Amino acid sequence: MEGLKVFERKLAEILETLLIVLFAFILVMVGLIVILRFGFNYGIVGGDELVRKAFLFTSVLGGAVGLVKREHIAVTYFIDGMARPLKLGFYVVGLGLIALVNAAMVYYAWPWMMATGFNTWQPFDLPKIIVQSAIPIGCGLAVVFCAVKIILTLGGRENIENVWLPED
Amino acid sequence: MFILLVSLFVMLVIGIPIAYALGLSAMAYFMLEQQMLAGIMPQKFFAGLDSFALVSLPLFILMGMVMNAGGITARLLDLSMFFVGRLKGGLGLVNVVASMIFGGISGSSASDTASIGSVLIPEMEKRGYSKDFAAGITVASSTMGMIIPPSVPMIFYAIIAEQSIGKLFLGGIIPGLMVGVFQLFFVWFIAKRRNYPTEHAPFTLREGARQFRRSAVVALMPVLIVGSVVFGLASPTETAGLAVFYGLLIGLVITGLSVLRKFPGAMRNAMITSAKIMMIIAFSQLYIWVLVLEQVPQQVVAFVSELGLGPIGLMLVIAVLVLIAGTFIDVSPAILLLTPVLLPAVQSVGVSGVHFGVVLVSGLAVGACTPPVGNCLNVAAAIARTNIFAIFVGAAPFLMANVIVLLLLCLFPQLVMWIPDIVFAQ
Repeated sequence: MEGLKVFERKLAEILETLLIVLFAFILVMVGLIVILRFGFNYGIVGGDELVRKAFLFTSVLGGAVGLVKREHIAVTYFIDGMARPLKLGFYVVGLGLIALVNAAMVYYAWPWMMATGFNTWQPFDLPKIIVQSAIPIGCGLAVVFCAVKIILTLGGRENIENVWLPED
Repeated sequence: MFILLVSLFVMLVIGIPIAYALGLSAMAYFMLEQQMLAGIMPQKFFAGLDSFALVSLPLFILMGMVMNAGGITARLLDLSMFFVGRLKGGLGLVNVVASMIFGGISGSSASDTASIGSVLIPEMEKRGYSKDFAAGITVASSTMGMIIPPSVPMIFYAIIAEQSIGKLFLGGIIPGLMVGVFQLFFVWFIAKRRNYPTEHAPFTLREGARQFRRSAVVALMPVLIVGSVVFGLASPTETAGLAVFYGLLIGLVITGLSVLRKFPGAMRNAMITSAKIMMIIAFSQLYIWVLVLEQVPQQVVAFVSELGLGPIGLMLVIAVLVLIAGTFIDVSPAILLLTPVLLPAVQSVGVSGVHFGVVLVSGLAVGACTPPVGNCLNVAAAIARTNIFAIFVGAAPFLMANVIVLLLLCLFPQLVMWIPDIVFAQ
């Protein structure tokens, strides 16, 4: 059980570092686009497109990391008022359902990627599957994190006092 | 339709995060009603995330965090003290004025509550203000963060409703200032009755010049952002990116390298905050697609025309609905769920999407200060070490200012549309 907890923490840390790197890339690209346009009347070919796709990846990865730290927005008023066994039960069922919808996304993404993924991603002349893979990667990670959370919760290694943190 | 609504309600009640509850409801609909269409799920999800305009969301959130980490709160409080500190209930008034300026910088009510509250709530208690009053005015005044531009919820609404971000920014100026002025009056009135103290704050030309010199670069931020977006110098995303660099520069000047040390953490938090909103957007694309497939917006339009309500009547009904919804749902999901259903209905009676957006965000701002889901209440409760219901009681008189403004916005659309109409007519 301790190994699973370490695995969850390490994986989340790696993803958080990746998030920071991708976000820094977005920030620098956006700054460059403006500076080059105003300062040198010059544009980066595909700059906007790169920023959009980097943002797409950060969003799906961030969504998965949000599950580890329970940072998703939920209406917790009712579940907070429930007796502990009921609260625990609904929390675990909820995690199972989150895993289910993410698994469905991975399942249905496959035929979509096979059908359209080898078309060209303009303006880079690369296959679209590179960016489409964000969906199975992000949703797949979400399934993994949900499964780990369910095991840790049932094993008594998770504090369920606050099931989800409020919106910032 | 029945499956869609009931399953969403049940999943929200059992505490499933809103993003996934929306996705699961749509999935239940596909599985039970339209299995052939289930393959569209990843495509809609992908389309929901693939937008350059949405990149402005984490950048604006990061800008607020950077400014906050850059030590601007103390300067804004000093500037506010110069304006109103010498009046009866000085610290309460300072709280409101600081929120008016801070709201224009952070674009978020929760960060406004945290920054100003952590300084002013303990100080107000020391000066003899009741805890409920101190926390209550901090929470209520933070609502201006959502209304005064640049506002993160306004950007969010503009993208969802395909409205002009510039017009929404301009539309929020008068309502935001009205909330501030009404709250100032309420604070002064209560302070006079309870005999709250004044503060020693010299109101001289020299002191004024000193405070302006210290705060000008900070207070200029909202003007630069709104100006850049409204006059089309840069897109909202580019403006937000530049604002982050501007915030970093100010932070470096004020606090030195400390802001750089906090920067990676701020980036991580901004990205996660944005990601959880993006997950709601992505999964809501499925839900909204099903709503459209089931012709729900058309049914709402038909229902509204049967009611025979004019624009004012409909906006009043919607204001009540928004206040109730805001009590139970957070701001971002509420915008996402209400906009696609209500916007066609209000547009069918001639209400502008900008007017509706400002009313929607102003109403939901009140919801952020009401139990059980009030985020600002939770932040203030942690600072003041009291419960959210006591803070709500303290905030209630000041939230009346918001409700009065909301009512006026429904009755007089010009309060929202006047500035955008003038600027965009040029």
